[in-house]
Parts: sequence; structure tokens; C-alpha cells
Amino acid sequence: MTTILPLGLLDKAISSRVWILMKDDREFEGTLRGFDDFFNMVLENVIELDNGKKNKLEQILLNGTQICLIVPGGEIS
Amino acid sequence: MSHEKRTSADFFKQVFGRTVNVKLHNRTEYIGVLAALDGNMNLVLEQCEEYLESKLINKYGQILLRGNNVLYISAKFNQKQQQEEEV
Repeated sequence: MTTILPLGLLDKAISSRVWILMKDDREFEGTLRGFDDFFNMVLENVIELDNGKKNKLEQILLNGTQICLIVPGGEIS
Repeated sequence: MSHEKRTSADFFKQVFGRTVNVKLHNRTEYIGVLAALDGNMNLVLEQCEEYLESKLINKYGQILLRGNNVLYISAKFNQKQQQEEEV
């Protein structure tokens, strides 16, 4: 069974939609353009969900420190 | 359409001199022109407006924002007046 590393999984998800859950119940969904070792992420065509409010963003650099969960191919609830 | 992996360094290069919207963990937002950025997400913004819950609360000529507070840095390709859509 081949080993899959976390950042390897993220690498596979590049150019596809990802769903990101933050520690404080915020959610982001966007096209993953890139990331770094600290889980900072470049996302495009992003939907931000915060306390029920949605916000659209064209391109963001998301700080990795508060990221809790990443779902490749996932959608905002 | 082929896409190269774009890391935070590429984002930085593209975003200099643009108007950005920086959101902090405490939901405060800063809209200003990006003058400087480092690997810790520390920022210098110029002609900056400070928003809390979409209400303008302050304006600054130049600010230094400590990167540990930053949730995201958002850039727009068009240099139009920024509008947020809320559903």
C-alpha cells in the first residue's frame, strides 16, 4: 500500500475545488491554486461562509494557522 | 488550460500595489493599497479604510498590520470599487 502524505493529497487537489473548515466555524470553498508547508493557501473563486453570511472573493491567500479540515472536492454546507 | 502551482510567493508578487481586502481573525477588514508584505503575513497598507461588520470605522494613511492576526488577504483583478455580496 503506497503511502500518501498530507501535503501530497493537497497537491493532488490542485486546480480542483476544495472545502476548508476553520477552527472557529468559518468555511471557505474555492479552487485550490497552491499552498505551502504552513498550509497557507491560494484560492480562486472563493465563497466564504461566516455566521450564515456568504461572501464572494476572487482570489485570496488564506492563512494556514487556523485551518482545521480540508475536503478535496467538497462543497460548503 | 494548464495551471502551474501557485504558492504564496507568487501571490505576493502579483498583489503588490493592488488594492487588497485583508480580513483579520476578529472579523475586522482593512481595504488599502498593499505596499509591503513578508512571509509572516505582516503587511503595510496605504490609504487604508478599516471596516467592522461592513461599516467604515476608520481611515489611515499608512498602517503596519501584524501577520499573526490575518485570516486572509483578498485581491481583485479589476480595480473597480470593491463590492461585497452577502447572501
